[in-house]
Amino acid sequence: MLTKTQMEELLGIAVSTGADFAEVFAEREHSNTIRLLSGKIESVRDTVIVGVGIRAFCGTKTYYASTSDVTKQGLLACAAAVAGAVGDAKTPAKIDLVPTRVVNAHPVGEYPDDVATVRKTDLLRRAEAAARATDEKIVQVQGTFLDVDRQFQVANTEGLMREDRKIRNRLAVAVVAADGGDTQTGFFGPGTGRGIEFFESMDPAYVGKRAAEQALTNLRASFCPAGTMTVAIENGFGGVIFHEACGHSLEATSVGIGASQMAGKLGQKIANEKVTAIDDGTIVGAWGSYNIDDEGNPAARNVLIEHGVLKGYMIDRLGSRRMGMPMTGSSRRENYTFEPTSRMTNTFIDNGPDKNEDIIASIEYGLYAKSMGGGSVNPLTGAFNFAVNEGYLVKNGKICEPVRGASLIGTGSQILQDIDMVGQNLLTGQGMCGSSSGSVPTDVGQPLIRVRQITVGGRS
Amino acid sequence: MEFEALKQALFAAAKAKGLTEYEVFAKTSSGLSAEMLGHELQSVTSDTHGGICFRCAVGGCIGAASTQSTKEADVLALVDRAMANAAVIDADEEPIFFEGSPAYEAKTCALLPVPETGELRRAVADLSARVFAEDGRVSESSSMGAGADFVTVSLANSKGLSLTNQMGSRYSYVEAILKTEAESVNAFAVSQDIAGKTPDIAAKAVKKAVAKLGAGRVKTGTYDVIFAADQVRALLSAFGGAFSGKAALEGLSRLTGQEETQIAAPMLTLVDDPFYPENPMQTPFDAEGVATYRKNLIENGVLKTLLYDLTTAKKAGKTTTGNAARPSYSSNVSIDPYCMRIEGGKETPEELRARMKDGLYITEMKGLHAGANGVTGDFSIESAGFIVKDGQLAAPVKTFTVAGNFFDLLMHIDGIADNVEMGTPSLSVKAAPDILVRGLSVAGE
Repeated sequence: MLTKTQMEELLGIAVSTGADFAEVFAEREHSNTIRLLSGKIESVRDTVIVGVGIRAFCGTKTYYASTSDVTKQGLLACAAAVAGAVGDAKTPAKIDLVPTRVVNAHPVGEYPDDVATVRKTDLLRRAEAAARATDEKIVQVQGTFLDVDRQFQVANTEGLMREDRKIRNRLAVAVVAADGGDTQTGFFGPGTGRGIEFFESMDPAYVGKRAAEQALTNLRASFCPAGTMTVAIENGFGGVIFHEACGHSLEATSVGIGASQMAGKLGQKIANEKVTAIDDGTIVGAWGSYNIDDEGNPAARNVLIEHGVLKGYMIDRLGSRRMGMPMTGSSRRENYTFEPTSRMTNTFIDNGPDKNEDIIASIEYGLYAKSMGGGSVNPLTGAFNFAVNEGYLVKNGKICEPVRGASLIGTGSQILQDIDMVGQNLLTGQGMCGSSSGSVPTDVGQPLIRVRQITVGGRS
Repeated sequence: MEFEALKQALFAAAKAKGLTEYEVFAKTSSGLSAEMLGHELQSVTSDTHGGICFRCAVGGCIGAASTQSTKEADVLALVDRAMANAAVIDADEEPIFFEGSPAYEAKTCALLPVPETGELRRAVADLSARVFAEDGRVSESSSMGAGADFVTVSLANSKGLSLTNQMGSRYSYVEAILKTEAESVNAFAVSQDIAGKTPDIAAKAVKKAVAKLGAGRVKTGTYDVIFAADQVRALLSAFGGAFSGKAALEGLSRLTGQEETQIAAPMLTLVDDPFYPENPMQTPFDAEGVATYRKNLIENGVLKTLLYDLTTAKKAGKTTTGNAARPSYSSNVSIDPYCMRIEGGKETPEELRARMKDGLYITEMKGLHAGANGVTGDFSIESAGFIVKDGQLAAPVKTFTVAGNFFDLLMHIDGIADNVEMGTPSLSVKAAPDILVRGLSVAGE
């Protein structure tokens, strides 16, 4: 990692040719990905990322260079690349950094590198055994254990100098069930921002069993009917609906350039009054939490929608300049090779006024989406899609037979109005979110909700 | 440290630990890009990255470790890390380090260097001007970019293998956004040169966006469908993993045991071609050092071979097809195609539409990463495109899903056009023409 003097020198060079702001980001990350397949530990991907990214601003123009060459020569070349892109050479500026300590709000019991690999492989074996024991129709189990130890420093020409360390662990199990010629899959992958002690409360056997049960349910499911219907979406990863349908459209990345359906709508009623949505990067030990964002600002709890009214956006430094609004501690990047931008952290629809049993009972004919897969959105139009990994038909207020192969599509502005019941069992689920600054860990969440009407993609 | 010095240091450290089989793999890249937002330069970025991976065999198991650090202590620590990782692997295969192929085929593309920043800035400014000249409704939220990457891959092992490959690629792209009082629409176009003139992506993106204005809904039902060439590439990208011999061995592919059987309509021939001339990222050797070559995966509808690396081929009783891949310096060896290409048919896209008569022409599919199951082949995908009436594009439509099964779809192909186009969906290189499929489920209003 870099010294204060090194960062001051690099910042001085980066702003020497006319930039009005510069930032240095240095990172070292060690990660291990252990893969189990067919009952055997198949591979370990053990890698160290080391590098520096330097960025300069001229108003809302950005200049960025990154390098894995952290020798003195490599760093100076990186800073010179930024300065050279900005303009002609002038005199390096004198920068005085003021280091400030970051208080860790996310205590870690055991750091990944302090844990013997065999303890991690044991988690995988326990998950696999439980999945296989569920039913003889389980024909394949893939398990992945991931641990990441990310350390970074950030400094800028306003004098900020901070460093932080973020741990994350995840156990993911993918299961294949087969019956005759029919094959179906199931998946469950809980993760944490805590140390490996998280798996004392999240039993690996439960992870394996849950993935297996999803595959078995899909094996006895028929194809989901296609058309427009009422849909109840369960808690946990069901929250991906808000993440895709609305969350991305509230990021300064799209709002700041007028390429979002939500631009210019602050203070307007954009959702049913039962909908309150929050992005909270401060939740202790959560998958998407951190102490400071990748620009050095403290993580925050940002209310996005309150009782249906748009209250705020997620804003990084560039977005702040474009929008004339304060930063919200939302700047993230996969690693130093990416310029940071506004991203979600732990985003969820808050508990509402409706009882869960009333939500199901209210549906005459529709779909109960118990478990969701991923999705995507076009922030400009709000058109979104996501996959239903485990679904059931609802008939006369009762959950009935399972259906498979369903997807849900619509537009964000419409679905926000159509969420007309919000339950009370808020739970989050873990995912990886992809955007222009790479893939970052995010929690999505919600209680059980009802969508009055949505297009269900299916096959019968 | 340069690769040769890193290699020598690691080989010496490996020998000192008593290792006899080991390998060093390195990948370095440098890139440059520029982007415009509307009429204004928005960003200029450059990068220089590299990483090195050490793999070794210990007690019949492979262990690996990698780093971006070039500090001698960090590099030498890779040997101990890799040995420790090998110790937790459950051996069920004999490690294979390859001594080299007798010959390696010559590449058919030129090596493109990274251009100067000034050239790139002029290219994107020109692209911006051309985009705005196309239509008065183009918004300042539109973006245009161009860039170039230069990659060097080096591979050496204890069997005396020592190979290096350099690849250069260039690209430009346009996201044209049109805003009217009623709606906003966007469309993308990508080119493999930095000026975006072949094809003219300024005109292409704007025309695509204009064509989307006023899109309506489509009724739920069963439709004959033509997938546009770029959407066929996206489908190949989503389901191409099924052709991995490793996935087949692991029970994660519907193509397990299907070699020499009819899995597609007789008109379909699917090729994996490392030397497709339009692909600038060609390599004469795979990630294990095996010579790459062109092969038919599906020939007249019959599955001829799956893709193999050395280890998987041995387990399956086959010969490697030279498809060992390591997308990054830190990746374990996986199996990937180089450039999957569906051979063109005899009809033009217009003739194909005329023969379909009525149906849908799909020009956009979103969320394939989630809505397509690579194991089962099932898909249910958000789509947009056009209603085809009497063989003509009649009206744009959006917000519907098209659902089916990829493997069933292969059997039900009823027409392949002659417009084979190359592109890079999801970072993989694919080439395909428009394809007609009968009777797919569509969910709309």
